[in-house]
Amino acid sequence: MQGHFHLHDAGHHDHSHDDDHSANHSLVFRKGLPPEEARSASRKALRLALVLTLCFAGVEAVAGVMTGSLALLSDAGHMVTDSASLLLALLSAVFGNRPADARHSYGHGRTEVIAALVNSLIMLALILYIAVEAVARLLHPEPVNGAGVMVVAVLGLLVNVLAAWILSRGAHTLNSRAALLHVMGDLLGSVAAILAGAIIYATGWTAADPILSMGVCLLILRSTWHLLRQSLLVLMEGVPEHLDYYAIGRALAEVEGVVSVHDLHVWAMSSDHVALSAHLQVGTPEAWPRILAACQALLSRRFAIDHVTLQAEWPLARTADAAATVPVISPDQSA
Amino acid sequence: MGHAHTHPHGHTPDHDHGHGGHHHPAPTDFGRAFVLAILLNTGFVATEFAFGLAANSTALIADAGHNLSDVLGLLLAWGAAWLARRTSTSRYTYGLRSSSILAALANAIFLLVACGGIAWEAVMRFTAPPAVAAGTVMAVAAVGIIINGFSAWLFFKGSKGDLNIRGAYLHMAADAAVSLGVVVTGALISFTHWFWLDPAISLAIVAVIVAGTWGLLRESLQLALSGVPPQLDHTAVARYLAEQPGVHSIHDLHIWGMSTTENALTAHLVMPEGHPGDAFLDRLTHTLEEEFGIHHATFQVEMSVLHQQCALHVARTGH
Ligand SMILES: [Zn+2]
Ligand SMILES: [Zn+2]
Ligand SMILES: [Zn+2]
Ligand SMILES: [Zn+2]
Ligand SMILES: [Zn+2]
Ligand SMILES: [Zn+2]
Repeated sequence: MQGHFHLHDAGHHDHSHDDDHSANHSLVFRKGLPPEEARSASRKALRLALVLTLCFAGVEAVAGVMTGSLALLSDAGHMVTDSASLLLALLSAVFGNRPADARHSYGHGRTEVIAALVNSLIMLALILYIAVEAVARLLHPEPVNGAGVMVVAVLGLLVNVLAAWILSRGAHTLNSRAALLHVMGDLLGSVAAILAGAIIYATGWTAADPILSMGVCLLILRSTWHLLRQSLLVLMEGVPEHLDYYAIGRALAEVEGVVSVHDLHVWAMSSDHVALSAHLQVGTPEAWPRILAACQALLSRRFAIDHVTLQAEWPLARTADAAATVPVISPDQSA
Repeated sequence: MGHAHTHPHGHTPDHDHGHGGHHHPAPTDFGRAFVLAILLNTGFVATEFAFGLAANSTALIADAGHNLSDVLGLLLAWGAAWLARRTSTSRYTYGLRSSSILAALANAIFLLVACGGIAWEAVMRFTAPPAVAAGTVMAVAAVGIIINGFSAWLFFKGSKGDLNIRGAYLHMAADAAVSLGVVVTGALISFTHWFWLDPAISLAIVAVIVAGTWGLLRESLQLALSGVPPQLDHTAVARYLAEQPGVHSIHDLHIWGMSTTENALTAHLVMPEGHPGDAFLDRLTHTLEEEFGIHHATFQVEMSVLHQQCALHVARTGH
């Protein structure tokens, strides 16, 4: 017997959603490492990057005080905020690893997603600030000490390249990707500053600085936006980007013995675990154990969903009320 | 068999498939409260700003800035309450309900950041207490008490149940308290000329607000983490389910908040004698809704005791 999976509009039946998303998902288990190892790799990378950034902030602050360079001091300030956002990422990674308890029945995995959201919001604020600053500089150019800027920028570039390299090897969770994004933004900022310093040094064209800063803003804006959307998708219990809701519904409905599927929910519990719940109408109670096993195997093998709750129902038993036929559409909607 | 392709799938009274959708008591509509509070506060911002410019008072202009952030906070809570009523899609299968959780969280954070700002300002003033221009400041603050107090009252009714509304309520109440503090200190200072009273009372108010906001922050964080909603008792629900006739044991019980007002549950029931049928599940669903306030429950009936553990738990301890 072949089942139906009913959608709320027929036009969606052969509409496949997943073709262009497969490249940009963030789920750990799709990247080859088992979740637990990926998480511990992320934590290690975050810890190293944090120590590196903090040490460098200290060095810069001391050097800034000794030489009286405002550029060095303000960059030290930036490095301190970088450390803060790395610390947030690290703390949430550690906290997010705590097991489930009576108050957090899904564990604490979402801590990391919230940290990623906060970090991407901070990035957006930073981008906005730099853009405003750059426009102000364009309107009222200020003399820039090209050589001084270049020295600071080269130092920053070295640290950021190192930090980015460390983080990119552990960027398996949404959280550590947020940290990497920040460091990449800073890295590009250093490159832009070096270029701007060189141009100003050679030609005296001070507008190079704000123009390059705005270019960097545009570059990081895209990935920041993407990250923001992904963390919001998890927090809003959306269907993960690499999964196709309709494909899952159809696959379940095609399992032998399933009449139809409704009230299907697919969502990410954390950045590396997907959960599913659905109601299946099945022919006979006797067949349920077999159907359940078949559905679990299907979901785990084809969609890598291993946290499943399937509720069985019998359509034929409900003859009491003709009006009580189940609206077989999913997702359910409340008007 | 008949598939009703009604769309959107409404919850007709005779549709006794109790678990077919998210039916929940229609949340009290605070739309009018939001509109009123937003209009009042916007008007207040404009007047404060105009008077501030005219009187050349930075204090007034700064307060106008604060009240502008209040308007944004209210808009956020309102937007979330509105989004929460949107229907589900194939991307957001629970609808956009959880935006109310994120809005409550954001408002808690805003409030704490604002408290940090006030505290900082107060500490600065201890070292050099400025002579407070009593007259105008007190008059504006008195208007602030009325506007913020009234706005807070608009949200009071919902402040017990809905975290999102509670965020709006707390913020308005806090602002009324700050305004009250300003009036009282203004009066005290004009009698005693103790200028340190101003920062001292500011700090006291900040302490009270932080104490009130802390709970909001904790509860909204817990909801955002998919934790068990604070008013729900995980063990009591587990006990209730395990006590049902035919249930050998339960496992993999999850309870979480879909929004600041609606809760969901999934559980696996081990029933070796076989599936008890729809009537049993319907009864469970209804009891959970009526007695525990869980609006969306899904049960997986298992006959064997083979797998007894949450897949999450297995994944975390599997190595
Ligand atoms: Zn940075
Ligand atoms: Zn549902
Ligand atoms: Zn159903
Ligand atoms: Zn306020
Ligand atoms: Zn189970
Ligand atoms: Zn579980």
